[in-house]
Amino acid sequence: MPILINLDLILEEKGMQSNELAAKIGITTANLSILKTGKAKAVRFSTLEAICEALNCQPGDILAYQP
Amino acid sequence: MNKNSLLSIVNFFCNFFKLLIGILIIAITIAFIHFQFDRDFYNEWSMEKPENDSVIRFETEAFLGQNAQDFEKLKVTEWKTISLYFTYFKFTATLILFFLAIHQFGKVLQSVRRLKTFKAINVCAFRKIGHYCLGIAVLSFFNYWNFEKYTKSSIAAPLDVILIALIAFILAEIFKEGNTLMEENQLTV
Repeated sequence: MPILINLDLILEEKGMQSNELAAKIGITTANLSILKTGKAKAVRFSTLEAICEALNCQPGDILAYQP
Repeated sequence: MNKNSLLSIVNFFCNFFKLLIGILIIAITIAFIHFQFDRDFYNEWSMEKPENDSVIRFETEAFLGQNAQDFEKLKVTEWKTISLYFTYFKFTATLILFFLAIHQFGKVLQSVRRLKTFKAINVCAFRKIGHYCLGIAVLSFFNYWNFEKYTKSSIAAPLDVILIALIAFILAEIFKEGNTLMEENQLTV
């Protein structure tokens, strides 16, 4: 899929662990792993909003389009 | 009646029919083998003249004698070997395919009871049911009865079985679509 998830980079930048983020935004670590590995078929706006709020970033920082 | 009790009843009937078919196959095989060794035992046994009720059919009938009424009842001992073997293997194969189709349907019911309805295994099960029904249709296509004084052969398209096969293939496609939607839903974060 040409949509890349840069969640790992942002997490490293912010110095946050995956399980910490999962707990903050209220999703399971398994689901967060699906998102990080690019296996997710869709992302809810509510999840994206929670991630942006927790990491203090914009959706464009997490998602990137690579043709 | 709630969903589970309905499924339980249908599941019971599936198992009942599987048992019945199993017993029938064993009984027919025993009778078939016994018939080879002791034909005289079946002297009193007779059967109705074979009929085909398919809408699309072509049949030929021939008999030795004056009156067609004499052949309403056919003596089992007058059954010619080739026709007997053909009918036995055809009937047994049909029963086995019925058994397998019911078994697959039972598996679908089990998964619905476990709330795992739209799994890939059910798509596969419906496809198998469709193939088994097509197998039954192919087996039912040609019939050949040959007795000492009576012969009948027919070619018939069993539309009811073909229709069931078609429905099974359509259900397989519907379940495939359901499986795709379920996977997408599971992979939505």
